Amino acid sequence: MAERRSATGNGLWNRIGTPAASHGVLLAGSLSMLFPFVWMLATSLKPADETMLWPPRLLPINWTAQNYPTVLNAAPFVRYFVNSVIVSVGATILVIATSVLAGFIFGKYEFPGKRLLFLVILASAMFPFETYMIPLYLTMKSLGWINTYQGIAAPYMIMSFGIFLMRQHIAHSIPEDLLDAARVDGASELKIFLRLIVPLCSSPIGALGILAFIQAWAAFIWPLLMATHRSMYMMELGLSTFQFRYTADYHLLSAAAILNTVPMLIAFIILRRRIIESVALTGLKG
Amino acid sequence: MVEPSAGSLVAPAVTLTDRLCGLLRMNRLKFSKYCFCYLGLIPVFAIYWVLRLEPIARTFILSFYDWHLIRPLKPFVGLANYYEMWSDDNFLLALRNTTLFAVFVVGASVVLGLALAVLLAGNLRLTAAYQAIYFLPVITPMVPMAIAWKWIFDARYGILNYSLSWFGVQPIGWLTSPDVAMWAIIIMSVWKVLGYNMVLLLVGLKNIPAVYYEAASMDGAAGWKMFRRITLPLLKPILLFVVVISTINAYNVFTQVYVMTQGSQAAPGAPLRVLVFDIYQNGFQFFKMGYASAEAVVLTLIVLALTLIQMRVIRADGE
Amino acid sequence: MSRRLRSKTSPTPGTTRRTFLKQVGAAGLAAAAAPLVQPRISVGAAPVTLNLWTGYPELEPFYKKAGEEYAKTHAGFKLETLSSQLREMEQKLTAAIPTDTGPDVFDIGRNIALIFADGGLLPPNPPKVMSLLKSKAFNPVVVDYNTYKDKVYGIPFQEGSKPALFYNTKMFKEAGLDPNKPPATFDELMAAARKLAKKDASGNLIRAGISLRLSGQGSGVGEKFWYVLYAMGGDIIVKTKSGKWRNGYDNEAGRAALKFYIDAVHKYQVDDTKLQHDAAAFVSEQAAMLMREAWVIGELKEKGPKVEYNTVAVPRAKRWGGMTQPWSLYVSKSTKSPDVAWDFAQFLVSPPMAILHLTMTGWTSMRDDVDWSPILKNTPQFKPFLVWDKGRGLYAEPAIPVWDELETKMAERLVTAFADKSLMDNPSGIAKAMKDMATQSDDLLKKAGIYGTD
Repeated sequence: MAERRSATGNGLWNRIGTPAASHGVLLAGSLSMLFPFVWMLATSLKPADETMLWPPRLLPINWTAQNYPTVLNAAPFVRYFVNSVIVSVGATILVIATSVLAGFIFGKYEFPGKRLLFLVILASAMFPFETYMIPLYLTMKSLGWINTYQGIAAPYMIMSFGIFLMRQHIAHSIPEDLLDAARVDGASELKIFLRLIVPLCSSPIGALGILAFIQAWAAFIWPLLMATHRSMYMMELGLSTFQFRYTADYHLLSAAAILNTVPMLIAFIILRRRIIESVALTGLKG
Repeated sequence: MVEPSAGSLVAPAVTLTDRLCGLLRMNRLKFSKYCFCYLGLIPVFAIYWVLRLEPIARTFILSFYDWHLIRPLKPFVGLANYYEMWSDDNFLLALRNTTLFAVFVVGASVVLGLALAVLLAGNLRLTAAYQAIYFLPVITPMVPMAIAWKWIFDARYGILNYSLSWFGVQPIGWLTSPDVAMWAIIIMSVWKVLGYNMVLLLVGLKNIPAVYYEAASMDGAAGWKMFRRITLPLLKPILLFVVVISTINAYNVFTQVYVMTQGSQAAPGAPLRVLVFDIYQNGFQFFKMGYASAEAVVLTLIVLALTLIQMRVIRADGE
Repeated sequence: MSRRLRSKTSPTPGTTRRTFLKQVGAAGLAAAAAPLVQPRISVGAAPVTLNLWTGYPELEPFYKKAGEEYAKTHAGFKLETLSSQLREMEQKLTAAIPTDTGPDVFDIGRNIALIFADGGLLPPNPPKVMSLLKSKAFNPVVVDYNTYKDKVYGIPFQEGSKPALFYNTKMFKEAGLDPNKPPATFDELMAAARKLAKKDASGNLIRAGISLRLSGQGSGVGEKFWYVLYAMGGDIIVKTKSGKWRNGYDNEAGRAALKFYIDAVHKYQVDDTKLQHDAAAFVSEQAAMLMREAWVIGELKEKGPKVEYNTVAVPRAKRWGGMTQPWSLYVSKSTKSPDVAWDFAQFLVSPPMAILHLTMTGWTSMRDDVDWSPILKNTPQFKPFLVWDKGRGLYAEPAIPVWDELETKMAERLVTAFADKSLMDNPSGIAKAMKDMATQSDDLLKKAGIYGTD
């Protein structure tokens, strides 16, 4: 039995030597990943007059945690947070539901028109959102969905990439025999879908969930178009409170950005653990 | 032909379904499969219609008009917008810039992402921590990141030039020199999406059953050979996905260019003109929605063509 | 928003912008409050809520305060505000106005407003507003700015782009220049810049003598170029006798203006694209001089309190003058309470509100009949913005829909020209550059059907 399963087998590891080399590379990369974030964090702890120092300093001279309460008081960020959660969770659920179902259908079935329909789904993802934003807005208006949660979540409820990802995974990781066996046992297609496919897809569902959530959370221009009242603003929009005509209150902006990012990071960390666990538990592979 | 086992559940529906089966000339299994497929796709496509297809169709139709957003007169002009594009310097420049951008960003982010995923797939400790760190740029809002990067790229005091000066490199005007500006955006964009690719490729790597490695190593394969013969082919589905997504996102680049140059008083305009910016400027600044729509259609066709090529080249087995 | 809260909660020492403005404001309000006590017409007894959208997030606290003030004399009045970055707010209004999902009152750039007017989506000003505009309160150039096809739209509310020359007095003294005699002509300006620019040991510029707008997106480069062009005697486009338009810079003036920039960057090296630019540079003392608007004063108080500086009118050459770019308030067509909306909009530009506007946001009002002396006593640097010298001209952008595109495309060409070292001491090269630019402008005018040479 292989001691350590890796993409290159054991050979390459032995040649490179040790985990130390890998850690070295990963750490170096991590530093460059983290640096801008560290800058943002440091700026959020600076008072106003230190944001435009020249030459720039990374660390504050006078540390202050005051920016955070200031930001939270400047705008109803708690409300914004709740809105962001509602919209993002709602959108994510729909994306997962549609993606798994459609991914399954396109991945394991043949039917007339399949090629064309799949191409339509793919092609629609390539059209830049900014261009069909206005016609979509008009549709939202006629549905009466302006300034509503469903209206704001609308464009993020469906994700061609999600369908594509699920299709790839289902087509190549779930053997046809499994399905046939279930059919022999008298299961309907629907039952196969719910009882068999969905549990087997827990790993990509987790990944897709994160991507869908982020897409909705980070949305800016659409929620701006749709919200006609402050109470419907999302967190990303709240950032614009600190950006003015020609300048920005960088210290407050950074604090707000940190507040905006941390919940998603936590969600990511939690979900990631679950995925890794489910992959390890999956005995069905091979 | 596999017959479902006899049971009272099946009995009541027999007559109708059988008749339909006879009519359509297919067996019961095929029929129930088709039912599931089409019925399952109905809600999906209904949502697609409302949220994507119908607005896109409207935009597509718009591209054949001289459609000014507010002006009442909107004459039909056929392919005039499309003809105008090919003699529009701005559009051609945007096309060139965006393609250059896409080639480098997709290349670097996929290759580096794969390399990092390989390192992590070796059951390294702290994997979760590394993934979180690399994913951080993906989920951080663009605006404050752009500000941080402007500082990093600063010609006189940015940390990048400072680090390079250790190697004797003269200060480079990353965001001010027309030759280099595109590279600065490329670096920033790779930084932003690297984690995304890495995480997805890691999922793909982890889904390759250990059996394959064991079998191959018993045949004497190891290292690079193992990677090329076993890992890469089995990774194709996810790899294709990652490449296609990266390409689409690269061609649709907008936010970081917009943010880093809108507010900046010193960024060169022309070398950073990308397609979606051109579309945005024509549509929302000059209000030439018909022309902007035509540009969007062309952008979509280009990306679609590239995707089809990529699918052919990487050829995820079967489909 | 941040400023108001900081004075309540911040422990940072020193005078914050908010505190300073508050002091000035208290003085100003006291002075201005006296003539205010006029009977106000109560606009009906039914409660009215107005929605106001703005593309200036820093104005939101002012609007809110003004709403509270108005509610004191109008029972049942409530103001709801919404703000976002300008470009995004433009998009939002562009989606909302044509679909009647917009606000009651909004402020937006004239280029967008004109397009709405063109499409019949904006109501022209009612008679009561017009009598205010035609009175001594507003300069005719400003009213003209809001005129389109013989109708006037919007109430000029805020000065969007009236520049003055900011200069660092400490650097002046160090360079042997008299801070009380700032440059009055463009020649003097260049001479001063050359003395003020600083280089390091390897010859790289580390302090700009003057921070010019050399690059960047949008039409800003063109707008700033016009400061110099105007002084040299040219304009971006000029109106002909028959009411048509043609370029105004394919001439001596245009060439002189471009020469000024080329000399600054390449010949005398008083500015460099590698340096930090604009207000940030002046605040962090990387630039000795800057031509910019009044909001920089607020930035300096908040983020650069130690900077010693003063302001003076933009220098002259053949002509002396400054630009005005009024930012106006508009009432939408679909508002359910037009009377209240127009009344409130007028209230927002009343003298006491104008003073509040300046003290809270650092942006100046468009009115000519406000007594600014309490503010000037506290912050004399506001003078060239608020007090207009005799003999100083006032110019504004023409009200034509293709203007934005024209200025933006010109700006793009200017950026390329500024970076072109070969134009140094090259009159024919400069002439060609301006000629090509002018041809492009004329082409755009032709496409818009308003080109003419007579």
